[in-house]
Amino acid sequence: MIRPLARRRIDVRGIVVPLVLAALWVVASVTGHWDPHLLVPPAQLARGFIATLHNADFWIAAGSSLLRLLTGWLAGSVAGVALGLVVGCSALAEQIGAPSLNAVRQVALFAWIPLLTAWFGDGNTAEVILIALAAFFPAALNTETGCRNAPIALREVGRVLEFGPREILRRIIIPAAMPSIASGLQIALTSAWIGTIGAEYLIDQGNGLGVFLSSARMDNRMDVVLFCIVALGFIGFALSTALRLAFAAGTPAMALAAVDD
Amino acid sequence: MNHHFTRRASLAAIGALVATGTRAFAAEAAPPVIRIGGVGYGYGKQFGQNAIAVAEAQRLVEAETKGAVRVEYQFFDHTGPAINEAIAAGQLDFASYGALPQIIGKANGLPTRIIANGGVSNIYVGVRSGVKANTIADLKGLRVTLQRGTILHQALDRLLAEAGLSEKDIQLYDLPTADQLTALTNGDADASVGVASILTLRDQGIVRIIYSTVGKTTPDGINAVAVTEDFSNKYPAATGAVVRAIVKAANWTAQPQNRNGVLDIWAKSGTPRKVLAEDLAGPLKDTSIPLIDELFVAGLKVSVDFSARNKLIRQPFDVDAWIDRRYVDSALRDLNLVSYWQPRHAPPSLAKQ
Amino acid sequence: MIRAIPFVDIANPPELGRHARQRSQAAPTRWLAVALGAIVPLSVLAVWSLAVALHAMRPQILPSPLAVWAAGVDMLRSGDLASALEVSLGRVALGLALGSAFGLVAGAALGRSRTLDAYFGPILRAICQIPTIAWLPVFMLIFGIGEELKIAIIAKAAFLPILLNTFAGVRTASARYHEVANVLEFSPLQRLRFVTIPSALPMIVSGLRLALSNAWHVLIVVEMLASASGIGHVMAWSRTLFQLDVVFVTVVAIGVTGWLMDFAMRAAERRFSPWSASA
Repeated sequence: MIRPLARRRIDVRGIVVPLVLAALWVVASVTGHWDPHLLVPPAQLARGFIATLHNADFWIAAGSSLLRLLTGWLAGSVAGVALGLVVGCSALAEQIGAPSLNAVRQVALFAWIPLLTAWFGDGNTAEVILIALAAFFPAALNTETGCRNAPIALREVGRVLEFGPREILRRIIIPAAMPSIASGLQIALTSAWIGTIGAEYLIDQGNGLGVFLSSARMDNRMDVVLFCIVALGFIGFALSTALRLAFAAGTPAMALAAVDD
Repeated sequence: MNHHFTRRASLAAIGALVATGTRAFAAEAAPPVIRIGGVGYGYGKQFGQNAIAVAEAQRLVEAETKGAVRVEYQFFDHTGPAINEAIAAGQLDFASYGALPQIIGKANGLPTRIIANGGVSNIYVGVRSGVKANTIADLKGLRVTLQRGTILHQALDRLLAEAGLSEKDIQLYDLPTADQLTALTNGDADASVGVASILTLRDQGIVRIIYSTVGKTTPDGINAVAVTEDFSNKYPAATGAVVRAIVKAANWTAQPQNRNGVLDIWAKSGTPRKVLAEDLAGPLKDTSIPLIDELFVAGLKVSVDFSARNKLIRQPFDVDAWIDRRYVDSALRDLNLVSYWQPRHAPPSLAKQ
Repeated sequence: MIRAIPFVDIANPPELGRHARQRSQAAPTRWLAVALGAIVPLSVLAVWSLAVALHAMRPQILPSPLAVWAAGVDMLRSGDLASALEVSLGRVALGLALGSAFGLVAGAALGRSRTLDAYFGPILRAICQIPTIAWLPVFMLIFGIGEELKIAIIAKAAFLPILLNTFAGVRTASARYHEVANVLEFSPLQRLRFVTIPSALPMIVSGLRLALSNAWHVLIVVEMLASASGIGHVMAWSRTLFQLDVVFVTVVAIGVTGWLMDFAMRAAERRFSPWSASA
């Protein structure tokens, strides 16, 4: 799912609908037609947005969430890729591990929260573990698929060249599986971000955007809530774009490096 | 005592004196750390609104232990499950929170002991503006939101019973605080039972307060301070030190000239100072009472009964065995505060427990 | 243009390991496979029992396997589990139906008409970015706290995958088929019935599978937060009551139900698209 950066002409028509909605919003709040608590008047909304941008707490919360996200995502992805490689390359490992992994995968991610908080307390640890869990499965699954799909012809080449198992792994299987792994890591990042916000919102201790959102609700500040929602989406988008770009730029280099040594 | 033992005992005693600063319990080591938990409010970092918060702000526990022991405080945004879980996971030694969550914890085997009264929380019943209801009896048929399994639920139960109603006469919605706000704001609910945070809603014109416990003596809104059995068995002197610090904090809170200082500390939690001031309009002496008196014990028993009836716990347990009043009693004696607070008697309806 | 989900459903790939079983030359006998698969669960059970025996954690937070079993049997017998699941599944069914209906219509419309796609594509993609649970506060204000809230948010969770997959399926309907339809001078309705829908079907079913999975996940969260019934609520409430054995039972119930639904969807996928790579 890696696409090279295509030159795209910006299609202006995409702006039309959002503009129309915004206009409707202004009209509705000016005529007082709708509940002012949900349909916050644009002026108040703008004020709330700007105030939150200036609010140090918001940035601390955002930073805290990102830190948590990265920790959990890295931990979960590394574990996931490692397990995916094992299960993907060994039929025996697959027979042993696949059923259990599939079973555990079925449990809705946030259903783990009561157990995690009971074991690790209501804090950072439980949240990071949940995030790692969210990242783990996409990473593992996609890695396994990638390994399985490594063309048999390439493996034959490895056997002909009398590569040892480790070399086969490093030079043939991993580069061949790279697209799938990369895709898995991207999906893992998206899942991890959802896990981060959800965990923070549900556990509601300490610092983080999810907690910030929850507190804003308790204070009945819909403008701050809306700002948080927009910010969440924006950060999620920025993260997945950044990763996609990194892979697009890095993959040829990675493949090259794998061959070169 | 033989000579050898005496020398070792004195060394240990000196160590213990330094550590606990009280009469030395021979050979009691100081705990590595004292971890205290309480209910908190606020964005991000939580702050408390009770004697524990005052004790933290004024570093009273550190004073009692002569600074030899590290003291850690943690304020939890969601009382109940979070604090019970922290205790079960071994992350807290002391905790001050609501009676009902404590009862749920204890009934499920959490090894705690009640060592002091955690103060009284005021309870309010607010009705959405536009809804015709002025007394509890008027709540009949209305949609009421509160958090089930809390002291609020119990209070409503008692109020309904006094008005000749029961839970069946109202529609009860179990929602966390934030969602109660939403429900009241957009008309999905008619009334709510809560603590001081409801006053903010009243100031925003969303609800009218039709009942409050301010100035009343009721068995509702009980909080308690608990210690884990492990900790108090191993470190009785340190336990005593903590209780003394709490009594000192309560005493400081109770004095009228300190009122502003108290509000300053409690306002750190983000609750508007004005709301706090109103919530605590009565003498702070009454709401921050650390005494284990008749009303407290009777109230706890009512709570246990309520919990069993509402299937919050599988079966009731013996409250008297749960309470350990030695620490509070000796703290009051040590600090010469024995007659400062009047023990409150249980009203006849409760006294029969 | 909305980025399409590729033909092979990478986001919700087939069951781990099925490829190996299909390709493996010397497939182990059926019950050897079961035995191997049972190694992990049995080891977990062993470690768990050991931890309980050694009092590694307090029994409040680590109930013994027997306690969990007893609680489970109790809940089954009293019908609590069944009624909770019934409520939850009912919500999923309704929400899924609603979300799918909207998603199908929108996906087909945007897939067939590039103009519509140009206008509505970007804003839909922007909404994609925001996790469904983040919408919960907003939805609560709009829909209140009753059943409508749950159905609405499940519908939203289901809408997106169906939209994207329908869009992709409609778009990739081979040009050749459309040529045939042109030659045969099909009416728009005939074209829809005989060309567009059949060729988009595999992707739509894939999308349905993903939508069901999303819906189940979102339902659990909503029930944990804003509900007085359903399996998610039972789980959250037993946590409040500090009855972790019941929590365990609900987690298992949620997992098993999720697996069963996914199993049914995979069977449907196979039936509707025998040639697709995801079968």
